Amino acid sequence: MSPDAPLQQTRVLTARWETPGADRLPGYLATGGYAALKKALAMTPDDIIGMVKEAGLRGRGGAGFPTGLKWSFIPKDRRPSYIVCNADEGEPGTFKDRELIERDPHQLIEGMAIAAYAIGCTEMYVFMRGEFSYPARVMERAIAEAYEGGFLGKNICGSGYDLDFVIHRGAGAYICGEETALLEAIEGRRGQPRLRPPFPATHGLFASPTVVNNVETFTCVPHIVNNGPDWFKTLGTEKSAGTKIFSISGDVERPGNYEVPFGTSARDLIEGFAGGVKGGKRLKAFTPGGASSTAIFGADKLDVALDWESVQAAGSLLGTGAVIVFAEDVCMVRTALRFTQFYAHESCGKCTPCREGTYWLVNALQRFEDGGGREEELEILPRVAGNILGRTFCALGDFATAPVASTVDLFADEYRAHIEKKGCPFER
Amino acid sequence: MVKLTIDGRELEVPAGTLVIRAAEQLGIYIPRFCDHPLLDPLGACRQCLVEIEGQRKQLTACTTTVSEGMVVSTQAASQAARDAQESVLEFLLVNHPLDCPMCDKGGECPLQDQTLKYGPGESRYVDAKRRFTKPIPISPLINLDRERCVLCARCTRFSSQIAGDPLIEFFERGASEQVAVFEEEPFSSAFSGNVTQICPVGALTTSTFRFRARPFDMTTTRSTCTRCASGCAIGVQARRGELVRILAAVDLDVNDEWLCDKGRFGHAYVATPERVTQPLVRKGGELVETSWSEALEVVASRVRAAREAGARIGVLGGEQLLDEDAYALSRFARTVLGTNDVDARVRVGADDEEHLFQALPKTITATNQDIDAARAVLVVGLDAHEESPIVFLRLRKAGRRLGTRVVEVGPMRTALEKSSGEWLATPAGAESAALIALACAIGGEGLDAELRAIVDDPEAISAVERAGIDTAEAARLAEVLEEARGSVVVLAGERLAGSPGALPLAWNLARALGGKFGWVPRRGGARGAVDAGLHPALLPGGRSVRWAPHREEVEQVWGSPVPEAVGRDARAILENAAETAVLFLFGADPVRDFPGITSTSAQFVVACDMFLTASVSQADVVLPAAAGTERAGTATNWEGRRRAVRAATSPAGASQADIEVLAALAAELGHDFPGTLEDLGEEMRALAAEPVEAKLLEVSSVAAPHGDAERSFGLLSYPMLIDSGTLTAGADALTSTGEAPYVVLSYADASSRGIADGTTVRVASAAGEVRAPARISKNLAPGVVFVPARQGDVNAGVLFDAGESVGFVHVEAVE
Repeated sequence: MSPDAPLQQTRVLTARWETPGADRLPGYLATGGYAALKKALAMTPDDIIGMVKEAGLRGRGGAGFPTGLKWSFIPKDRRPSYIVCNADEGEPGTFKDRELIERDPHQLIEGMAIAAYAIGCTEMYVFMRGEFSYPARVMERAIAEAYEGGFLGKNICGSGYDLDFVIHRGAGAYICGEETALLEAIEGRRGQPRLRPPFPATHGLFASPTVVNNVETFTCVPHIVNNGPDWFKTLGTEKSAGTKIFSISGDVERPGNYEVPFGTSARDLIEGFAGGVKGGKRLKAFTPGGASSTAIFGADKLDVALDWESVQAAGSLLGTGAVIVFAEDVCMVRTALRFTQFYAHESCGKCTPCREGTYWLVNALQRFEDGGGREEELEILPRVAGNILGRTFCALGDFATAPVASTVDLFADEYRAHIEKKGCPFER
Repeated sequence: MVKLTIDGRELEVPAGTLVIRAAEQLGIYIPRFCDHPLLDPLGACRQCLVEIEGQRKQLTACTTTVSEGMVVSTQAASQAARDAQESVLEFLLVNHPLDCPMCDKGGECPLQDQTLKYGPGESRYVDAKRRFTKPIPISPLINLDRERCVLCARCTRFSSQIAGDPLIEFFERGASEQVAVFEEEPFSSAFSGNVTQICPVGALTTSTFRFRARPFDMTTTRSTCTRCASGCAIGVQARRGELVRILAAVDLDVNDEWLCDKGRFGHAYVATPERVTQPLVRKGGELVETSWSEALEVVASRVRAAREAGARIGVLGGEQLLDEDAYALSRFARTVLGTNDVDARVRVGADDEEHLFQALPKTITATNQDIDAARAVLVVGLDAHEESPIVFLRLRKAGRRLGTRVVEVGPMRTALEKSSGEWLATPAGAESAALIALACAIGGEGLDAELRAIVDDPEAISAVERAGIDTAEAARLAEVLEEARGSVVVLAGERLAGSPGALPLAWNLARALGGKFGWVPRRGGARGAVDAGLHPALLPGGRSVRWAPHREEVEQVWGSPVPEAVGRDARAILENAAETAVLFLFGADPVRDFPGITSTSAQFVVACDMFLTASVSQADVVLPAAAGTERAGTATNWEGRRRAVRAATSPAGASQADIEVLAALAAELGHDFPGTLEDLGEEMRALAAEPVEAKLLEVSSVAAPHGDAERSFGLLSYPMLIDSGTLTAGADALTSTGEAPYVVLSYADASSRGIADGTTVRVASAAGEVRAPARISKNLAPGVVFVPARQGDVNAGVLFDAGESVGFVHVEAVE
């Protein structure tokens, strides 16, 4: 993007956000809604999967797994199978799925319905984050409309194909965003991750073949079906096709969701779309992909292109695309403490390193804030984080290590300042 | 098979084997907490991390299955694995209180042991540990200390997967995650003690062992539990000659490594003050202590006098004797007392049992392994959960592993319901009619000619109609059995004898389905008594008194004649006790156990026992018997498997093993009698039969009992696992987990009589009555009332007329 060009979002998934009434069925239909579903129902399931593969669609929930490939793992000879939408959007700094549901719920239903037809499933679930009471109401209304309009229920769109939809509300556990913990929760058990293998593709919901995808992933599907894989590939980069909704928050002038092609730089997002650091302060650090990026970036990484490969090459993960911005006067020890408190609170307790390690780190970081930090802990804390990393049952433990490891790495002088000043030297 | 390398050593294991199990085969121990070979893999504690070539991070050996060419390095060969394991132990100790000096687990604690071996010497953690109130009793038997817990989920998995009592669960999350029980739902499970044994820390401990001993201060004797016919392997632990604790021992063929709470916690009786530890003789109406020589002399003189007068002598064993005791008693009765008036059943026997007992020692019957492999199991006349708890666990295991279908037949559906059980309801005592219905539904092709002839009999068909058996349901369940043909086990409890014809029908049905039959009696000595011929018409090895060649075989070994006439059974002996000059009771309590008997009114009663029970306190001579943990021998379990019993402590006071008592009495009477386990064992081997395939059993009658207008309810009654039995004396924590008296009614009967859950009902027969609160259950057939035999102060025995095994009673609400 040249410095003079006007800031323009690439609105695909968010195209209807500006259109009043598009969250209701008539408005959705008036803007081309459910055309993709009708088109898909005339195709063979294999052709749809092939199309999604060809488009290079990758999962938007954080891991970036190729969606078409995931769908193709579903055995054709075992029924029932299930489509599950992961709407347990709990990642700190991430708020795109919420807005996708609130502003365009039918787009999600349509995307899921196409996926359901592609894998031959007749019952879909959405696992909705417990705190999402308004999105849940919107979704319920949309589901009712879709049943009424013949897009859900018996014989959808006259195709002879039956499809039901169930909303499952969560009860406030971040871990349920982990797909196997999510499945446990839908089945009525304690939300803790399951042993893999077997994987959800063969033994998912109710021990049946299951596809779990993120909200944003499903919403890409109608556009691919409508416009074709080649069109989709013109957006984004070679390996990160399409657009991405980035949630920008923290110390910026205009926080919010911005849909741009993959590969847009962090600088364009922060300084351009989000209007720069709040109050004209200098930027100290930002997360490229939410709290669960494996590393926080310093100001030197502002020009990293935000796509899967580039962020990884720069030493972190794109995750859910949540860019949290920290201005120069933010205490990075406190930042690490707040993030680590989140993980300690949300650790499900199942495995030792995550449960005990986050407890340890929180106590130590709190002690730094309270003036009890010790020099040797600049050695110990990264090692404790290292003892969690790679040894936990699921990825939550891995993510929990990043705030400590990154901040000790990038901002060791701030830790030392805490030791010297016997407490937090920052005012904010 | 899959080939892999662990620490540089190659081995081949079946596909699907976990790395941790494969390593064990090489003798390589990988430290672990959550892993347990009998529980589903979990991967929670992360202690067993190992390095696997080609993997970018360490993997848990307890969840990783082997693959061809896999190269594994454990802590013995890999610094990365050592570092990982050390870091996990450091994490585990972050919140562990390290209160080892006051922890009952100290000395046998996997956390302690593995920290010493694989952990860091010091922790780098300096902040506060989380605190919990401790310990919390989660039942009268089990204490929970959440601070010590490492959240390995062994207890929760045992309770849900193995026992089927998911009453203990994780609450909260993160470092606040904790084991807990639900509000107002205590951890009441018949298998609760197992969680303390598999807990790898001191989080779950028993109230009975609290602060009692350190493991290194105790001797452990491997033995067999004889409380029921399961025959579990146990370790009996004693400290300075005092029995302190019983643990389950590992025996994958029988009890895996589980034990019911009665077996684990019920041992206090051996040291209770009520125990009889000196011989007693009645003088001036009172039982007074005496010497063995006087006691034996008194008994011998009465026996001599009776024999000279040609008077009757009777012998009752209580189905609780060890094999050698039962054998010696059988031999003693025949050779020293010259009588066949001998019976082990202090309960109403049946003619059917003679045929069954004759066949059992000579037939290949079902084993635990047959249950493991069965596709369907028919359970009839047996409440496995209450009467043989390890058989219950075995049935659950088969259900979980193979989806084995369990079909129960009887008036009440038991806890097997939880194991996807099916149920064919019958009126009380009408199991035989249901078995006929099943056989009819299997039909001509599926049955052999003899069984077909039996069930084609018009009388048999009319029995099915009279009993009101749901023939459509019988047909559906017959299909379940038919589908499992060749892989069927039929388990029959001893109560089935109360339904005439049912025992041989069950036996024949197993045979017709190409399956195996198992007789699961209630008491630990019942099968041994059968093999010993402790029966008026039978001799050791299933030989018949009625047949001269059989008698001769036995006479040859005994070197002494065997009385020719078939003797009187327990019922005949007890109902005509006054005719009996001398009655011997060996661990038998007919006053409590035999319907309608209120006194042992024989002319002279000799009791060999541990307690002054209702019967023993009426005896003229009491000979103190050693407890099962105080002497050696063997016990034969329901499978016919003979298992070693070993002495863990010395006999209390002057008590002696029954075999020693019998040998001494025989000597006093001038008989040469084998008195050692070796001598008895040699004879028993000589008389043992080589088992062969099952032959058809004769079915003499299939009559189903029925009541009348006044007493219309069929009475079902048997003892629960935890009741007011003699051998739980002193085990107060255990008995307090038993239930208060209650009676069970079906929904249909309760609603037609205006009886609600908790309403006090009166159950009355001509003989007596019982009052207890009602429980309304969907698992009881209409027209039946279930009264647990001995809960609290209720003894259901008062409802039976003398010699009745199925009674009919009147039921009404009392206000």
